[in-house]
Amino acid sequence: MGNEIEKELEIIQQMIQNTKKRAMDSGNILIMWGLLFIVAMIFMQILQNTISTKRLTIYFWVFPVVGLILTLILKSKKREKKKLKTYADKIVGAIWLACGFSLATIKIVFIVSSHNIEFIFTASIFFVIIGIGMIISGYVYQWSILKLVGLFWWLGAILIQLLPQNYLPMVFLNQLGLGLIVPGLIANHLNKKEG
Amino acid sequence: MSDFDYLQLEDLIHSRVRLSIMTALITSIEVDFSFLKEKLHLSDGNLSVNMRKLEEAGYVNITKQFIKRKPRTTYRITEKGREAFEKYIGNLKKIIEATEN
Repeated sequence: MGNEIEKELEIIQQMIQNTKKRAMDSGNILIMWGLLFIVAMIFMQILQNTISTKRLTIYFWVFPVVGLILTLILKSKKREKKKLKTYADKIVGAIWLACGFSLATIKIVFIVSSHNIEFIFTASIFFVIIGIGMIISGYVYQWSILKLVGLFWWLGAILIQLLPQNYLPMVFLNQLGLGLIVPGLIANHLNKKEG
Repeated sequence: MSDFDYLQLEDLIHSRVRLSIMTALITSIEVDFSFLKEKLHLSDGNLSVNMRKLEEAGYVNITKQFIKRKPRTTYRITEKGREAFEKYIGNLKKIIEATEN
């Protein structure tokens, strides 16, 4: 009987291992956001050199809307192919939805309050919220890389306040590359490996 | 020797395939037919027979749909199935404790 019980426990343990996912399956979404904001940065740079208006940042907010639409498309495509829906995916989805609404709410509050809040201050708050999302996702998936990425976003939030303005494009590119595109590529690679 | 009644382990779950299926379902929200087939190394027929037994007992809900003209079957554990699995694990625990004593 002892052997039989051991076998049963082995079956349970093996199946839990099979259904346990170590990688988030939103790699493409992270990569898309990273690339989208790089395009946004280039676009803003071109606008700055060609159009002389103080309300340039208004144009920037077109990109998050495009990103949101692309996220919904990517998610619905993923849902069709998904063989396993886990509680971890559901929790992480809810966290990022909350983060997204927080970012939108903060932006709306800043617009409505009509104070002249600098773009760089908003960016710092956004970096902190993205960091929170990354760190919680890292804990849910037990994936250390995401926790480090979260800390990296927080570091970025401080850096953009401290560094001179001509360093900002470099910091933004670093954040987008190492904070979104690289973890997205790693997540895709791990997902492929897990099958 | 312990005096635990081994018959308390429910026959329906007490099979390698169905125990694996129930474990997969309890740790996930929704599981696809092809996922179970691949992980358990079963034929379509074998998996279907076992799933039908679990469905007839009211332990799983089956959803059949067509996505881009391809059939897709997914499974979710029911509340009754969850309770049965928890009871099964509880009984396994009792056996282990009885064996240790």
